[in-house]
Amino acid sequence: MQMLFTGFEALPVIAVIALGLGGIIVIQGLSLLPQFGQGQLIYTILVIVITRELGPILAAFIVFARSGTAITTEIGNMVINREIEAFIATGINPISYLVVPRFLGVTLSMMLLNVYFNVFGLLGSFFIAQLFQPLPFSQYAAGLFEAISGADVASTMLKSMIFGALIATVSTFYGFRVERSSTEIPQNTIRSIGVGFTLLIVANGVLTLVYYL
Amino acid sequence: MNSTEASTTGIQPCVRLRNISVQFEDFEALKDVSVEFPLGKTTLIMGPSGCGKSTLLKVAAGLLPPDRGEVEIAGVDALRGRPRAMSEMRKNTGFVFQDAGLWQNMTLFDNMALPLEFHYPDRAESVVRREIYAWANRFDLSLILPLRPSTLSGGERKLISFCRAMILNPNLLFLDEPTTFVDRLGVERMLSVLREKKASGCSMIGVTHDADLTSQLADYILVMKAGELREFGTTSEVARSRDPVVREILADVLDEAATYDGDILDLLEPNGDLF
Amino acid sequence: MKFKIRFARQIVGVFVILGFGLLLMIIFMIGSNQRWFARNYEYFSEFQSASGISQGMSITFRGFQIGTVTNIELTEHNVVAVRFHIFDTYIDKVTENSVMQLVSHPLGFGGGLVLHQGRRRTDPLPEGSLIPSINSGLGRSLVAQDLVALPEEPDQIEELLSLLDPILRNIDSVTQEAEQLLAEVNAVLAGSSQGPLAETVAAVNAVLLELEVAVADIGKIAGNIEATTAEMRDPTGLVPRLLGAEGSIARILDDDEELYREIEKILASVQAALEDVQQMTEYLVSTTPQISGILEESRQAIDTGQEVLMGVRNNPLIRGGIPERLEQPTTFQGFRDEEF
Repeated sequence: MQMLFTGFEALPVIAVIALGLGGIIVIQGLSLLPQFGQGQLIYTILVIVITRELGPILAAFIVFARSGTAITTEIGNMVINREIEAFIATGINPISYLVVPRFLGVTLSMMLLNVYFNVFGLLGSFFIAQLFQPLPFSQYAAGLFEAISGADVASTMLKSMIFGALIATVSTFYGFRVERSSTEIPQNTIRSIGVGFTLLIVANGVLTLVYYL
Repeated sequence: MNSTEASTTGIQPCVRLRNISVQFEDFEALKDVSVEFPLGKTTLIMGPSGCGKSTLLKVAAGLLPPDRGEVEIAGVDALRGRPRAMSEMRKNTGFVFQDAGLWQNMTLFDNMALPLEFHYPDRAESVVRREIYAWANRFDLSLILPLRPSTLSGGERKLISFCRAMILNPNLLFLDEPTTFVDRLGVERMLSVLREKKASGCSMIGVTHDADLTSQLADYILVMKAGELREFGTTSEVARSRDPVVREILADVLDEAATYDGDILDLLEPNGDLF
Repeated sequence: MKFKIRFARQIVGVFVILGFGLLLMIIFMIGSNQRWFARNYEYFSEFQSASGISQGMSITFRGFQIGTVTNIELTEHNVVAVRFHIFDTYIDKVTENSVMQLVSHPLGFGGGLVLHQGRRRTDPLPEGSLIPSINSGLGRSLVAQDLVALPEEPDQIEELLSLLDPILRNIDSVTQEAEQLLAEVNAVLAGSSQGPLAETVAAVNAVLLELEVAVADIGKIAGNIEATTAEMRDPTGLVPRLLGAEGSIARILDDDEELYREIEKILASVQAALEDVQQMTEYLVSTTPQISGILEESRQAIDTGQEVLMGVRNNPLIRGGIPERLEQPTTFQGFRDEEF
């Protein structure tokens, strides 16, 4: 269920953004790069931008904006409604019962959305390129798979996994920070977005640094 | 500020609280309370609104960690107990929340099924179903079981919350104003269930304004005022208390309960109108 | 219940399976593109210096990447041991007596280790064996024994010369055409040819022949005239009779020498014509050696040029003296070069 909301329902947004991003890169790249005689670089740029950098972080932003806030609000409301206390009274650990499925769901969704983002971004750029300069798919695929490496895939999957874990942790943490009043829910949601986005960007920077080290 | 201490010497406690203090931001809800609730008896906590009754109950149930003090429920340290011991303790306790505390994203059936599924994972689904319907039938609630809490009236929610607390067949019950919003028939049925539990030796700790509940169930009464424990003893002891504050509170609470609880609210919110 | 809620499991299932499927597909495609699943064969080589060699450097054979450098280390004997993989598809290229050569590209990239195959066709070397560097003692001796198939080095001079080739071929063809022309002219002059010039010359010949005949005729006529004149002097002969005052000739001639003047005129014009013909013939005779001389000289010049170029190509001293022209990639290659 968590995956339905976090993963599947975010798919259209992800798809649109990925297609747009891929298209923009190709348009800009095609107009600029051949002037330097570096047309081949477009694949490298696509891979760097979509696979390694923007793919995970944009998908993470979308997931955070959609699902992270939803989780914070949901858990905040549960605190207000004494649902958390009900869990404790029943002997069910609210952390394991509420956080673990969200953590797993968000992390897995994040990774899958990242895969979809990449597929859409890289395919989308192919179709956009088709409008400007038709080239056979095999050539495009060959160029792309020449530019992409296993390390890129590992890096992007690792990133999305860490981002997913980060989103789940931050949003559930701020959900549980709600104590009594329902006005705390939006406050904590706002705070979780601020902290979460900052952490995502920092984590992205650290991971990118690690990749190049 | 006096440190009030109440104990029922010679009787083994089901819940023992020591030097409990709870602070809500600037407001001190409980001021160094120590109390031992007797095992197998029914203790009702009384006092004016905002005196810390519910807070005391939640601390006693281990739902609210106090800022200072120690909580021991059925011999388990509720603050530092090992998870397995805690889980075993929870298996035998029930809590009826003042505002029902139902899980909003589950159906009522699932609300009642979850504790059973959690504590008795081996139990067959048909057995679980039979138990749930048995409890729901006692309160004429079996028809609404597939619904979610948000579609229910306050009284129905309260009854479901009561059933959920009962489903594990606990020997320690925490009741936070169980009868509010519940119609007379519901209260009658609830009282019959509670009498059965009491007869079977279940310890009960409750907060109530309900005169019927008090008169029919109470073995001990605990009177609170402004976060402090004012009086604690058997019903007759407290009723005969010379403390004017206690007498006033007792009279007020029971009168209030007689006026506000029950009929008027139930007339305003007839049972099952939202179904 | 909403469709999405009721089929949540199915939707999520499809979503997850498709996602992982795509991921696996991408990984597999990368893998097959970058040869993760192919077996690699490990060999090693020894170099004096590790400069220019780096991990991940490609091993090439006739321009194809056939492997990569996996590890470089300095041994205790201060020799640089270079370990590398050869892809299984190219393992048959690693034959006995193969050597490695470090080729550095002038611009610093694109260079690499080049494998030179042994000359003998053998089974691939066993895995883990040493492929000597071309500069090592073993490598040198292998090259010296001509056991290594060294390709002609595809260097700049070669490229330059390959550019020169078509030029030389053009010059060749020009020379050949000139030779043909000369032969033609010679043939024409020998009269054993056809074509407009030959026809002209043949016509001139014919005219000359006719002229000769005409001249001979004129000689006869002149003889007749002499005889006639002699007879005229004979007073007893026919001529005096003819030329007598009553004779027919006398009458013919009795026209104030009109006939004589006519004949004289004819003769003069014939002489003029002959002089013209003579002049033309003299001109032809005088110009022919000039044309043939010019053609001959140009042919010789071309031959010499060809020889010089051949010399340049064959002479290693001159070749080394020509500075290498580096191919500078232009920053602007134009739109037709774009690869995307």
